[in-house]
Amino acid sequence: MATSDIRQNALHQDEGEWLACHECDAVFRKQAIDVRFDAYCPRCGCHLYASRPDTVRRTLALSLTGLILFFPAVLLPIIGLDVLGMSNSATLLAAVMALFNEGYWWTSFLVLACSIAVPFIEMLSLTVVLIAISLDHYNPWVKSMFKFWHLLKGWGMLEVYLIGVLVSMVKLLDMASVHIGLGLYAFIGMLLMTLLMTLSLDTEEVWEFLEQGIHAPVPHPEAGSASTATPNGDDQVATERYALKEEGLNRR
Amino acid sequence: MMDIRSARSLGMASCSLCHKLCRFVDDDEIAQYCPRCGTRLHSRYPNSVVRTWALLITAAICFLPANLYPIMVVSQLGNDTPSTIFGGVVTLVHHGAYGIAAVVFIASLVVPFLKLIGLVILLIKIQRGWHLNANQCTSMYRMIEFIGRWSMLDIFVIALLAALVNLGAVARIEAGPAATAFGLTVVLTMLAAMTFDPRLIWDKEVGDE
Repeated sequence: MATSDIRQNALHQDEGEWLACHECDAVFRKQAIDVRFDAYCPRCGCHLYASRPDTVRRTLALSLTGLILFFPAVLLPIIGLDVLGMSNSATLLAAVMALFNEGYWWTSFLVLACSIAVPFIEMLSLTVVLIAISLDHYNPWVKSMFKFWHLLKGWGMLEVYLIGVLVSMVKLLDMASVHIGLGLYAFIGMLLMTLLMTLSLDTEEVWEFLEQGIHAPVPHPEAGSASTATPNGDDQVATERYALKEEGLNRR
Repeated sequence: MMDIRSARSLGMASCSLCHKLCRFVDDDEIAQYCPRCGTRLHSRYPNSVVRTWALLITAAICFLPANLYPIMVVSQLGNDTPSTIFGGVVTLVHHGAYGIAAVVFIASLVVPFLKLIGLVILLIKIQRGWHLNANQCTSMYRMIEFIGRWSMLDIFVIALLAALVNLGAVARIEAGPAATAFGLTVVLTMLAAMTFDPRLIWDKEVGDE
């Protein structure tokens, strides 16, 4: 296709069926891809989009589980130690408080943010957004909440913390006897939930809902016409999408 | 050969937050907003190079005290032994925990250093027009963005040890002044990687004029 055609189409038809790689700015036409496949930029290799089956329900289940595990993970001891008949144990919160009490308020704030606050707010905001979507309930603040989730992405560091727990256990081994607390199991569970959430969440689909106010459980319909929605053509778009879904099922 | 055009040359920009491709007039004086999420649109991150330089230089300055001051102080039965980041790695090697020593060494010394060097190379490539392979540069950028968070490892270890080893006169572990500097280094290099716009690497590529 000649570039002038691309330009014509992109400008005169719909912009939603085109996308630009956010690492090299190359423009592509979005194509429907099979379930469990990911699309990468042919020029720079950046991950573009993916097809995630049933993304809203699966991610909601995972984030709710993560939220439940959050409380034991934070409140129960992660590791304990015994030395010369004395014993002590540390929770996630105690680690933050220890630094704070020594006067390292900036470092303690950093640890609080990366190990407790950001993962919690991430799970909470995502849960609220996904519940709103599954109830077909649309509000402008749902959009703000999802934007907030985007801004926090990358600052939660549970997996780094887990390696930190391992390193501190090794460092203490010759000094005292170390044992694993109940909180660590909850912590690992929460970590697994956040990892699985990144694997099951299709942000593009969530944004499409937030843009149009329609819950469309189709990963990526082939025709771009679905996203040419005008605010008053919602019903028609919805039926189009479901038709596409059935088509896809028949083909399989 | 595939005909690849950049969004900028087609009069479009993808939203920096939700990645929606929007129509865009290439003039940063006019405020344009993403119709989907309401974020201000930019074809490239504004002042990306200057901001990244500023953050990198600050991070490099913080990296010095982070390595020279003790990051933790172990006091056992009245003896205070301060140890730097590198000292902690040496202690681990002495105890025979080579794997863990390598993890700590890579996470807290190699990674921040390579991040600083890597971003400086990318910035100079953009400013001076070095002929480096754009694909390799993007891979390097992706790597820098991915591994940056792992430097927080040492901070977490110190927080845990300070909370755990708190047995009065028998044994105590306290954080040292390097902890603040090191935390700053990690956050600043992460912010530098976030403000750097990888699209700048591709802007001068052939076939995209």
